[in-house]
Amino acid sequence: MFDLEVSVAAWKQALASRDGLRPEALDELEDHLRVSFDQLSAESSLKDALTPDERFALAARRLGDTRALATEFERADPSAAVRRRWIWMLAGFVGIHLASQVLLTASVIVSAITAQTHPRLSSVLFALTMLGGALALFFAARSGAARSALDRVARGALHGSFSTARTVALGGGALLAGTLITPLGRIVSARYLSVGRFGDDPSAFASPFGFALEQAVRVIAFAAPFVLLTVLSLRERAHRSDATTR
Amino acid sequence: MPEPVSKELVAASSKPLVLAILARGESYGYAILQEVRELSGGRLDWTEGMLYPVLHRLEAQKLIQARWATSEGGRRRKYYRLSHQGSRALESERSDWEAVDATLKAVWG
Repeated sequence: MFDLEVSVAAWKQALASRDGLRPEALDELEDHLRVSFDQLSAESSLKDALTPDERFALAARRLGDTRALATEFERADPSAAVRRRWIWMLAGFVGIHLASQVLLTASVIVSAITAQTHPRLSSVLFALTMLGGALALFFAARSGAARSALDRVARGALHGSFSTARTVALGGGALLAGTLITPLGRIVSARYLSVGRFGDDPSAFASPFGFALEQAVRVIAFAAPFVLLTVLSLRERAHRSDATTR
Repeated sequence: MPEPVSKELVAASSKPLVLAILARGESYGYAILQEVRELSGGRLDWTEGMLYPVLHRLEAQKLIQARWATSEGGRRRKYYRLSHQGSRALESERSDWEAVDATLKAVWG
Protein backbone atom coordinates (compact mmCIF):
# COMPACT_ATOMS: atom_id res chain seq x y z
CA MET A 1 0.00 0.00 0.00
CA PHE A 2 1.31 3.43 -0.92
CA ASP A 3 1.79 5.77 2.02
CA LEU A 4 2.54 9.36 1.02
CA GLU A 5 4.04 10.25 4.40
CA VAL A 6 6.46 7.30 4.30
CA SER A 7 7.51 8.12 0.73
CA VAL A 8 8.02 11.82 1.52
CA ALA A 9 10.04 10.95 4.63
CA ALA A 10 12.29 8.55 2.67
CA TRP A 11 12.82 11.12 -0.08
CA LYS A 12 13.63 13.83 2.46
CA GLN A 13 16.05 11.52 4.26
CA ALA A 14 17.94 10.84 1.01
CA LEU A 15 18.26 14.56 0.34
CA ALA A 16 19.15 15.46 3.93
CA SER A 17 22.16 13.13 3.89
CA ARG A 18 23.79 15.30 1.24
CA ASP A 19 25.83 18.42 1.81
CA GLY A 20 24.63 21.91 1.23
CA LEU A 21 20.94 21.76 2.09
CA ARG A 22 19.64 23.58 5.11
CA PRO A 23 16.53 22.20 6.87
CA GLU A 24 14.57 25.21 5.67
CA ALA A 25 15.42 24.42 2.04
CA LEU A 26 14.35 20.82 2.63
CA ASP A 27 10.96 22.00 3.94
CA GLU A 28 10.54 24.21 0.91
CA LEU A 29 11.33 21.36 -1.49
CA GLU A 30 8.98 19.07 0.45
CA ASP A 31 6.14 21.55 -0.04
CA HIS A 32 6.92 21.60 -3.76
CA LEU A 33 6.94 17.80 -3.98
CA ARG A 34 3.58 17.59 -2.24
CA VAL A 35 1.97 20.23 -4.48
CA SER A 36 3.38 18.47 -7.54
CA PHE A 37 2.05 15.10 -6.35
CA ASP A 38 -1.39 16.62 -5.63
CA GLN A 39 -1.47 18.18 -9.10
CA LEU A 40 -0.57 14.88 -10.77
CA SER A 41 -3.23 13.13 -8.72
CA ALA A 42 -5.83 15.75 -9.68
CA GLU A 43 -5.38 15.13 -13.40
CA SER A 44 -7.91 12.44 -14.17
CA SER A 45 -6.00 11.00 -17.16
CA LEU A 46 -2.89 10.48 -15.01
CA LYS A 47 -4.85 9.30 -12.02
CA ASP A 48 -6.25 6.41 -14.04
CA ALA A 49 -3.03 5.55 -15.87
CA LEU A 50 -0.57 5.72 -12.97
CA THR A 51 -0.51 4.19 -9.51
CA PRO A 52 0.10 6.58 -6.57
CA ASP A 53 3.62 5.11 -6.36
CA GLU A 54 4.30 6.03 -9.97
CA ARG A 55 2.82 9.51 -9.57
CA PHE A 56 5.08 10.10 -6.57
CA ALA A 57 8.14 8.88 -8.52
CA LEU A 58 7.22 11.24 -11.36
CA ALA A 59 6.83 14.21 -9.01
CA ALA A 60 10.22 13.43 -7.40
CA ARG A 61 11.84 13.02 -10.82
CA ARG A 62 10.53 16.35 -12.02
CA LEU A 63 11.94 18.01 -8.94
CA GLY A 64 15.35 16.65 -9.90
CA ASP A 65 18.06 14.14 -9.02
CA THR A 66 19.05 14.56 -5.34
CA ARG A 67 22.77 14.76 -6.09
CA ALA A 68 22.38 17.43 -8.79
CA LEU A 69 20.00 19.36 -6.55
CA ALA A 70 22.39 19.31 -3.61
CA THR A 71 25.26 20.48 -5.84
CA GLU A 72 23.18 23.38 -7.12
CA PHE A 73 22.13 24.41 -3.61
CA GLU A 74 25.70 24.29 -2.44
CA ARG A 75 26.74 26.53 -5.29
CA ALA A 76 24.14 29.07 -4.16
CA ASP A 77 25.37 28.95 -0.54
CA PRO A 78 28.91 27.51 -0.49
CA SER A 79 29.55 28.01 3.21
CA ALA A 80 26.49 25.95 4.21
CA ALA A 81 28.26 22.67 3.47
CA VAL A 82 31.35 23.66 5.44
CA ARG A 83 29.19 24.74 8.39
CA ARG A 84 27.30 21.46 8.29
CA ARG A 85 30.49 19.38 8.26
CA TRP A 86 31.86 21.36 11.18
CA ILE A 87 28.72 20.95 13.25
CA TRP A 88 28.52 17.19 12.78
CA MET A 89 32.22 16.67 13.34
CA LEU A 90 32.02 18.71 16.53
CA ALA A 91 28.98 16.65 17.54
CA GLY A 92 31.01 13.45 17.20
CA PHE A 93 33.92 14.99 19.08
CA VAL A 94 31.80 16.22 21.98
CA GLY A 95 29.64 13.07 21.95
CA ILE A 96 32.54 10.67 22.44
CA HIS A 97 34.08 13.04 24.97
CA LEU A 98 30.85 13.11 26.99
CA ALA A 99 30.58 9.32 26.80
CA SER A 100 34.08 8.96 28.23
CA GLN A 101 33.28 11.50 30.95
CA VAL A 102 30.14 9.58 31.92
CA LEU A 103 32.20 6.39 32.23
CA LEU A 104 34.80 8.26 34.26
CA THR A 105 32.12 9.62 36.59
CA ALA A 106 30.77 6.09 36.94
CA SER A 107 34.15 4.92 38.13
CA VAL A 108 34.28 7.78 40.65
CA ILE A 109 30.85 6.83 41.97
CA VAL A 110 31.86 3.18 42.26
CA SER A 111 34.96 4.30 44.19
CA ALA A 112 32.80 6.41 46.50
CA ILE A 113 30.35 3.61 47.17
CA THR A 114 32.98 0.98 47.85
CA ALA A 115 35.04 3.53 49.78
CA GLN A 116 38.25 2.60 48.03
CA THR A 117 39.91 3.72 44.82
CA HIS A 118 39.90 1.50 41.77
CA PRO A 119 42.65 2.85 39.55
CA ARG A 120 42.25 -0.17 37.34
CA LEU A 121 38.54 0.44 36.83
CA SER A 122 39.03 3.92 35.38
CA SER A 123 41.80 2.61 33.12
CA VAL A 124 39.53 -0.16 31.88
CA LEU A 125 36.67 2.29 31.29
CA PHE A 126 39.00 4.65 29.45
CA ALA A 127 40.26 1.80 27.28
CA LEU A 128 36.64 0.80 26.59
CA THR A 129 35.80 4.30 25.28
CA MET A 130 38.88 4.29 23.08
CA LEU A 131 38.02 0.83 21.81
CA GLY A 132 34.43 1.89 21.09
CA GLY A 133 35.61 4.93 19.16
CA ALA A 134 38.16 2.88 17.24
CA LEU A 135 35.53 0.27 16.36
CA ALA A 136 33.11 2.97 15.14
CA LEU A 137 35.86 4.44 12.97
CA PHE A 138 36.84 1.00 11.71
CA PHE A 139 33.29 0.15 10.61
CA ALA A 140 32.77 3.63 9.15
CA ALA A 141 35.93 3.23 7.07
CA ARG A 142 35.28 -0.37 6.02
CA SER A 143 32.13 0.19 3.96
CA GLY A 144 32.44 0.51 0.19
CA ALA A 145 30.78 3.92 0.33
CA ALA A 146 33.49 5.15 2.70
CA ARG A 147 36.22 3.88 0.40
CA SER A 148 34.82 5.71 -2.60
CA ALA A 149 34.35 8.77 -0.35
CA LEU A 150 38.03 8.60 0.65
CA ASP A 151 38.86 8.30 -3.02
CA ARG A 152 36.89 11.45 -3.80
CA VAL A 153 38.48 13.34 -0.90
CA ALA A 154 41.91 12.33 -2.20
CA ARG A 155 40.96 13.86 -5.54
CA GLY A 156 39.88 17.05 -3.79
CA ALA A 157 36.18 16.50 -4.43
CA LEU A 158 34.65 16.62 -0.98
CA HIS A 159 31.11 17.03 -2.12
CA GLY A 160 28.96 14.07 -1.17
CA SER A 161 31.79 12.50 0.82
CA PHE A 162 30.49 13.67 4.17
CA SER A 163 27.34 11.84 5.11
CA THR A 164 26.10 12.78 8.58
CA ALA A 165 27.10 9.46 10.17
CA ARG A 166 30.56 9.54 8.62
CA THR A 167 31.18 13.13 9.72
CA VAL A 168 30.15 12.29 13.29
CA ALA A 169 32.51 9.28 13.20
CA LEU A 170 35.28 11.59 11.96
CA GLY A 171 34.67 13.90 14.92
CA GLY A 172 34.98 10.91 17.25
CA GLY A 173 38.12 9.92 15.41
CA ALA A 174 39.54 13.41 15.92
CA LEU A 175 39.05 13.06 19.68
CA LEU A 176 40.62 9.62 19.59
CA ALA A 177 43.61 10.77 17.59
CA GLY A 178 44.06 13.78 19.86
CA THR A 179 43.89 11.63 22.98
CA LEU A 180 46.41 9.18 21.59
CA ILE A 181 48.81 11.86 20.36
CA THR A 182 48.71 13.89 23.60
CA PRO A 183 51.17 11.54 25.41
CA LEU A 184 53.64 12.44 22.67
CA GLY A 185 53.56 15.96 24.07
CA ARG A 186 54.45 14.50 27.45
CA ILE A 187 57.39 12.65 26.01
CA VAL A 188 58.61 15.70 24.09
CA SER A 189 58.31 17.97 27.10
CA ALA A 190 59.45 15.39 29.68
CA ARG A 191 63.00 16.68 29.70
CA TYR A 192 61.67 19.96 31.09
CA LEU A 193 60.02 18.21 34.03
CA SER A 194 61.52 19.06 37.41
CA VAL A 195 59.94 16.09 39.16
CA GLY A 196 59.80 12.50 38.10
CA ARG A 197 56.11 12.49 37.26
CA PHE A 198 53.85 13.70 34.49
CA GLY A 199 50.99 15.99 35.24
CA ASP A 200 48.77 18.85 34.19
CA ASP A 201 50.22 20.89 37.01
CA PRO A 202 52.45 23.64 35.56
CA SER A 203 54.60 23.58 38.72
CA ALA A 204 55.70 20.05 37.82
CA PHE A 205 57.72 21.57 35.01
CA ALA A 206 61.10 23.15 35.63
CA SER A 207 60.42 25.73 32.95
CA PRO A 208 57.11 27.15 31.73
CA PHE A 209 58.35 26.28 28.25
CA GLY A 210 57.91 22.57 28.93
CA PHE A 211 54.33 23.07 30.08
CA ALA A 212 53.56 25.29 27.08
CA LEU A 213 55.11 22.72 24.74
CA GLU A 214 52.95 19.94 26.10
CA GLN A 215 49.79 22.03 25.86
CA ALA A 216 50.71 23.12 22.32
CA VAL A 217 51.08 19.50 21.18
CA ARG A 218 47.71 18.75 22.74
CA VAL A 219 45.95 21.68 21.07
CA ILE A 220 47.50 20.88 17.69
CA ALA A 221 46.55 17.21 17.99
CA PHE A 222 42.91 18.01 18.72
CA ALA A 223 42.58 20.90 16.27
CA ALA A 224 44.39 19.32 13.31
CA PRO A 225 41.43 17.33 11.93
CA PHE A 226 39.20 20.43 12.08
CA VAL A 227 41.82 22.60 10.41
CA LEU A 228 42.27 19.94 7.75
CA LEU A 229 38.52 19.80 7.13
CA THR A 230 38.38 23.58 6.74
CA VAL A 231 41.38 23.76 4.41
CA LEU A 232 40.06 20.95 2.21
CA SER A 233 36.59 22.53 2.11
CA LEU A 234 37.96 25.96 1.20
CA ARG A 235 40.17 24.45 -1.49
CA GLU A 236 37.17 22.65 -2.91
CA ARG A 237 35.21 25.92 -2.91
CA ALA A 238 37.95 27.76 -4.77
CA HIS A 239 38.16 24.90 -7.25
CA ARG A 240 34.41 24.91 -7.77
CA SER A 241 34.10 28.67 -8.32
CA ASP A 242 36.86 28.38 -10.93
CA ALA A 243 34.83 25.73 -12.68
CA THR A 244 31.69 27.90 -12.67
CA THR A 245 33.31 31.01 -14.04
CA ARG A 246 35.07 29.14 -16.79
CA MET B 1 6.31 19.28 -28.16
CA PRO B 2 8.24 22.48 -28.94
CA GLU B 3 12.05 22.38 -29.01
CA PRO B 4 13.36 23.37 -25.54
CA VAL B 5 15.67 26.38 -25.17
CA SER B 6 19.33 25.49 -24.46
CA LYS B 7 20.42 24.91 -20.85
CA GLU B 8 22.85 27.86 -20.90
CA LEU B 9 20.20 30.31 -22.00
CA VAL B 10 17.72 28.94 -19.49
CA ALA B 11 20.28 29.48 -16.71
CA ALA B 12 21.16 32.98 -17.93
CA SER B 13 17.54 34.08 -18.18
CA SER B 14 16.46 32.67 -14.83
CA LYS B 15 17.28 35.85 -12.88
CA PRO B 16 15.30 38.36 -15.01
CA LEU B 17 12.46 35.86 -15.37
CA VAL B 18 12.08 35.27 -11.64
CA LEU B 19 12.36 38.99 -10.90
CA ALA B 20 9.79 39.83 -13.60
CA ILE B 21 7.31 37.24 -12.34
CA LEU B 22 7.68 38.44 -8.75
CA ALA B 23 7.18 42.03 -9.98
CA ARG B 24 3.60 40.95 -10.70
CA GLY B 25 3.09 40.01 -7.07
CA GLU B 26 4.09 37.68 -4.25
CA SER B 27 4.46 34.04 -5.25
CA TYR B 28 6.05 30.69 -4.32
CA GLY B 29 8.25 28.13 -6.07
CA TYR B 30 5.69 25.86 -7.65
CA ALA B 31 3.52 28.74 -8.90
CA ILE B 32 6.54 30.54 -10.38
CA LEU B 33 7.45 27.40 -12.33
CA GLN B 34 3.89 27.02 -13.60
CA GLU B 35 3.97 30.59 -14.81
CA VAL B 36 7.30 30.15 -16.61
CA ARG B 37 5.98 27.00 -18.27
CA GLU B 38 2.78 28.66 -19.44
CA LEU B 39 4.34 31.93 -20.58
CA SER B 40 7.05 30.14 -22.58
CA GLY B 41 4.66 27.63 -24.09
CA GLY B 42 6.78 24.85 -22.58
CA ARG B 43 9.98 25.96 -24.34
CA LEU B 44 11.71 27.03 -21.11
CA ASP B 45 12.08 23.68 -19.45
CA TRP B 46 13.45 23.98 -15.90
CA THR B 47 14.38 21.06 -13.74
CA GLU B 48 11.94 22.10 -11.05
CA GLY B 49 14.29 21.89 -8.08
CA MET B 50 16.83 24.17 -9.76
CA LEU B 51 14.54 27.16 -9.24
CA TYR B 52 15.16 27.14 -5.49
CA PRO B 53 18.92 27.80 -5.50
CA VAL B 54 18.15 30.71 -7.85
CA LEU B 55 15.56 32.05 -5.40
CA HIS B 56 17.94 31.65 -2.46
CA ARG B 57 20.72 33.43 -4.31
CA LEU B 58 18.42 36.35 -5.18
CA GLU B 59 17.29 36.43 -1.55
CA ALA B 60 20.91 36.56 -0.37
CA GLN B 61 21.50 39.44 -2.78
CA LYS B 62 18.45 41.15 -1.19
CA LEU B 63 16.74 41.46 -4.58
CA ILE B 64 13.79 39.49 -3.25
CA GLN B 65 12.34 39.03 0.23
CA ALA B 66 10.94 35.81 1.64
CA ARG B 67 8.48 34.91 4.37
CA TRP B 68 7.01 31.67 5.65
CA ALA B 69 3.24 31.49 5.78
CA THR B 70 0.53 28.86 5.86
CA SER B 71 -0.96 27.90 2.48
CA GLU B 72 -4.67 27.31 1.80
CA GLY B 73 -3.98 23.61 2.28
CA GLY B 74 -2.61 24.30 5.76
CA ARG B 75 1.02 23.59 4.84
CA ARG B 76 3.98 25.81 5.65
CA ARG B 77 5.08 27.55 2.46
CA LYS B 78 7.79 30.05 1.60
CA TYR B 79 6.54 33.10 -0.32
CA TYR B 80 8.77 35.53 -2.20
CA ARG B 81 8.31 39.12 -3.28
CA LEU B 82 10.40 41.72 -5.05
CA SER B 83 12.36 44.25 -2.96
CA HIS B 84 13.10 47.86 -3.94
CA GLN B 85 16.60 46.79 -4.90
CA GLY B 86 15.01 43.99 -6.91
CA SER B 87 12.89 46.34 -9.00
CA ARG B 88 15.98 48.39 -9.82
CA ALA B 89 17.85 45.20 -10.78
CA LEU B 90 14.92 44.18 -12.94
CA GLU B 91 15.05 47.52 -14.78
CA SER B 92 18.73 47.06 -15.60
CA GLU B 93 18.20 43.41 -16.61
CA ARG B 94 15.41 44.52 -18.87
CA SER B 95 17.50 47.11 -20.69
CA ASP B 96 20.31 44.51 -21.09
CA TRP B 97 18.01 41.91 -22.60
CA GLU B 98 16.34 44.45 -24.84
CA ALA B 99 19.77 45.49 -26.13
CA VAL B 100 20.58 41.84 -26.96
CA ASP B 101 17.17 41.37 -28.54
CA ALA B 102 17.45 44.57 -30.61
CA THR B 103 20.93 43.64 -31.85
CA LEU B 104 19.87 40.16 -32.90
CA LYS B 105 16.80 41.55 -34.64
CA ALA B 106 18.95 44.09 -36.50
CA VAL B 107 21.29 41.32 -37.70
CA TRP B 108 18.50 38.99 -38.72
CA GLY B 109 16.52 41.78 -40.35
